[in-house]
Amino acid sequence: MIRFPEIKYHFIILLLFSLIFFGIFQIIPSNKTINQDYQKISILFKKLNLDINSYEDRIIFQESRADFFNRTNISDELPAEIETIYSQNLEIQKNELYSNLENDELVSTIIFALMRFIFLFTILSILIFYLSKTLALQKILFLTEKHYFSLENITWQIEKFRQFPTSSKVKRNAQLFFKLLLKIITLVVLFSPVYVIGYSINLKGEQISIVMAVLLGLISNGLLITSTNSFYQFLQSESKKGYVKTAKLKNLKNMFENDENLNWKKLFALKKVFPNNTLNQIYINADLHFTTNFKNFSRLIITSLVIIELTLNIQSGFFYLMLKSVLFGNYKILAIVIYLTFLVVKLSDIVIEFISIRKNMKYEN
Amino acid sequence: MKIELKARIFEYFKHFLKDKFQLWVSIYLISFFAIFVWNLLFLNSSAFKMLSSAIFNTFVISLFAVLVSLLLGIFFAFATEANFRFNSVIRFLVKFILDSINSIPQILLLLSSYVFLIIFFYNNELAQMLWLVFSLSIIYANDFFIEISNRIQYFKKNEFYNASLVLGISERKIIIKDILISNSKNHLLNRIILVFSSMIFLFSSVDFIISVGLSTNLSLAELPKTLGNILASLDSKQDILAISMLIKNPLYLSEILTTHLEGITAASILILTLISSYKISNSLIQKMKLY
Repeated sequence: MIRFPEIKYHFIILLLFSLIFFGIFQIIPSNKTINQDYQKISILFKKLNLDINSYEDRIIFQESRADFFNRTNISDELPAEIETIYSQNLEIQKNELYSNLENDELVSTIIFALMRFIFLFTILSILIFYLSKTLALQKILFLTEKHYFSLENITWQIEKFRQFPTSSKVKRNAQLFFKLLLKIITLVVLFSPVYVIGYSINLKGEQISIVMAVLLGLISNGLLITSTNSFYQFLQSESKKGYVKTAKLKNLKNMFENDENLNWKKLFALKKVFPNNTLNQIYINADLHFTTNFKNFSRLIITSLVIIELTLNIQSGFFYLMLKSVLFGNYKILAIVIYLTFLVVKLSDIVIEFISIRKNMKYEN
Repeated sequence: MKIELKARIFEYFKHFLKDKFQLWVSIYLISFFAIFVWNLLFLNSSAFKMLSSAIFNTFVISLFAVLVSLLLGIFFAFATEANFRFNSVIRFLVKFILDSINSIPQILLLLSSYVFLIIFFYNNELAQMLWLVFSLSIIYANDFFIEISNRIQYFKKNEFYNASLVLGISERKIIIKDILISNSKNHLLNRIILVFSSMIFLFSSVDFIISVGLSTNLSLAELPKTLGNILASLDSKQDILAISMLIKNPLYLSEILTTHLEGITAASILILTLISSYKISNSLIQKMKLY
């Protein structure tokens, strides 16, 4: 028996979507006829000594495609030689195409790729959830105007700079310059799409382990910075509320005051508690809002994982399998991948909802 | 006199820099213009033409898609929040459709929409662009729907809503004029900025994937040039790879900024848009005390 209406709602959506999906799935034609275009192009690849499964070769082919078509008029009619190869290799091509995408092997391939994706998604979600809260707290507590160098408070920095004696101005100037440079580089990296980072360090699909994929997910696509900013905004809006002012009047320690309890160890702890400080209540309330809103970030995390897999060519990936099936004209696998991803998203929604309800009940009591 | 002028200029900049919204809009526009002029000077004309059309297509498609999704968001919010017959059925249907769309990561929806594009809109650039605008609008309509619904629900709790109804003002007028135009324009502007940048990022990423991933398909439609397919080209890949040379030789920067411009420009426009919109949105939230 499901007690909570929010979770019940997710199950209703899940059921209705599943029914509609299975209806649509029956309409999608079963791809037993090979994609004609793919056959033609496979032959061309062979003639050009290119590997159809190679990412690099596909780019090279894409680049030379227009020239090649102009030379051979292939778009109108296949030349006789290629036509012969085409008919001779038809059966071989068919076998090659479906050798790894059929029956039991296909099911086990999908299950293995799905497990890998769920594992990556869970690890990345936990890390982003923890790091966002830690970094936002660090920003609100320790990066005061003095430490927090940004373009916005540059006037403050300049005024400070003017007060220095001439002898230390050069040193100070260099410091300011490097701080600004570091900040710009950090911002650029954090907002860079993963394929730009991957290209710039010549990263190849086969080099990317699970740890590397998680790391790339953390530092790219603007994921960590936007989730940190979200928690930071919750902290800020909570710190302006009336109960904080009342607490201050009652002489409870304010989060910006020197409090020996506020240290790095407390900040990096998995369970963050700040006893006898207004920050404790601010953190609890901000955490409640953030947990409820984390559903939006779970979708962004999946989007980020899809981009990592498909742009950096991770061939064992769940979504790479989907792209490959689209390439082969097998749209049923595309539908299955979308449905399974929907299930993962809904499951994560239910888990997040459950955690939010548990937290709410704990603090309400 | 000179000192006084200097002090006045300093004061002006101090005042200007204090308004973060103003500052980041200026940074974005100036940087964009500087990149444009730099490319005009150093990039060869055919590449410049291709890059310009890619930037234009990306921005125009995203801009239209933002406007259509805003209208869809208003329509869906009105359908669920206003009182009329069959309201509860419509409310459930709209919520079910939007929640289902929202439960599939946007990138998968857009990738699926490209499959339709390649099958049905072969070699018709205008139809392809319209299809992309339509797909992006549907995918992002939920973002506007949530924002607008929240605003309507917030104002419904206020006395003025019921008072206006008692005075005989139509619900449509209250929602559109009093709630959305008079009291929510900054919220909507903030959402437009966020959705616009998110759209550019998603659209470019999917275009990048399609340009490389489906390049073996003979019948692949000639897609409109966008930042994504510019970045997927071999030239751009080499341009971006050149950045790694900076670690060994920082002086190589001059070479990058003059001979590896195509890929660097496409990547910088994308990153600049993402950073600026994030900063502009943050400053708007602070300036207008939105949340």
